Amino acid sequence: MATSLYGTLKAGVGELWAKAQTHPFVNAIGDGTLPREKFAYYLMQDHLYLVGYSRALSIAMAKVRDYPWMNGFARLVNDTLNVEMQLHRELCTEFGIPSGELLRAKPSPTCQANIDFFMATAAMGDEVDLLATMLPCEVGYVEIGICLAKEAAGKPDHPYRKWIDTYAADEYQEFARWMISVFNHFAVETSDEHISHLQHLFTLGCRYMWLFWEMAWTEEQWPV
Amino acid sequence: MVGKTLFETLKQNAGARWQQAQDHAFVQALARGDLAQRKYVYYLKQDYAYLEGYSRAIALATAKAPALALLEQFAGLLHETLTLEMQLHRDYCAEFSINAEELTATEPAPVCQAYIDFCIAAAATGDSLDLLTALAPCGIGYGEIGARLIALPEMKPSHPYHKWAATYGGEEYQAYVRWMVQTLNKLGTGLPDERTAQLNRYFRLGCRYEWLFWEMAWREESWPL
Repeated sequence: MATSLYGTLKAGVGELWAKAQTHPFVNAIGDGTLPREKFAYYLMQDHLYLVGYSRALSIAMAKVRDYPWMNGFARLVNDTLNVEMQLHRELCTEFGIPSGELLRAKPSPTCQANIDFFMATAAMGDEVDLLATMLPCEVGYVEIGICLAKEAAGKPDHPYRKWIDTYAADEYQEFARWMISVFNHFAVETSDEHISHLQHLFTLGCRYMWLFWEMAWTEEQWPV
Repeated sequence: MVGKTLFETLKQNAGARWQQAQDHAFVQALARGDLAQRKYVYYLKQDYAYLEGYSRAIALATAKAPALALLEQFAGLLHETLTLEMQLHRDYCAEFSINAEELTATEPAPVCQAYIDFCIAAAATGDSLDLLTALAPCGIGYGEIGARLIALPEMKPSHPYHKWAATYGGEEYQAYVRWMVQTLNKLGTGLPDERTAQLNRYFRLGCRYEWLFWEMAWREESWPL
């Protein structure tokens, strides 16, 4: 039985996948010890990340070959901008970040690099290329959510319960399954050369996921 | 802001960042001629990868040029980058026994990757003016460094980095620097404040990436995982 292309790319990153799942920042969310200011920093940068992610998906949507798939992409962009980001805004209020501050936030170096990676890929490549860059994060967050939900179970006062529950939720798991199936569907006639390129993009996506946690953990700033 | 050109406005708004890139330790070592060869080789390979991305960004901007004359000029800049600049890198690498295949196979380091994607994203989502502004810290900045270095008394043909200084300080490259400044200022006349704010953002990021690129090469940066 042929392995799916997603499975091939995931196997191709080896230990990198697990490292992005078990970064100290993630572990600290799980056991509830993450300092509030680091979580607030993360929320602000993630909000900016989601804007960039939505813009890149919109470019890809314009390029999708088959009309029925446009609907799926449009729904994802809408869910990101109007549902996932609404959660961020609510969490920001809960964690004491005024909405004005959230809107004035500027991308950190890693956030800027990650957004431009999505935008450049969306502009220069096709929808398969963009999906390869985004899957590590989309699927990775589900796996993290499920794992941390187990840890947070039975702890009603867990400070990060709402965040964990979002990514452990059935809807989010369904979304991840859909993304993988869309990717495998689109990637069915891909040449060996293109697969090699997709592996490169997927690997970068995994690297950026780890780097995003590291960015938040160190509250990264521009050196100049 | 009355009477200031766009380029003057952009530079002023970038604060110390323009000069910080000009004065980076890497550039100083290049000028003195005591830059370690391995750092220079690292820089050449990363810069070659960057120039490919920079060229693609110019190609995108070429397609979007609002007037035929501008389209021709962007195409000229693209040609100059792919030939004059990239040939410099190939020539130096050949001297160090690094062939074109090895050069082309270089994996961009984190800052190089980020800078390439910044240029392409700017070109894809913005217009010619946005892209020119994003590339100005590099294009014009290198011209300033080149002009300064080639005029140094110690910059004789025997200086290890004379060819580098002669390329960026030479008349062909300097003509493009003058064109970039003139075009920026021409396209940047009478802009609303919001537009200028957006351009300031691109220019400031470009200045940051210039400094970060020198720093990346100085430290021979690699991916942490």
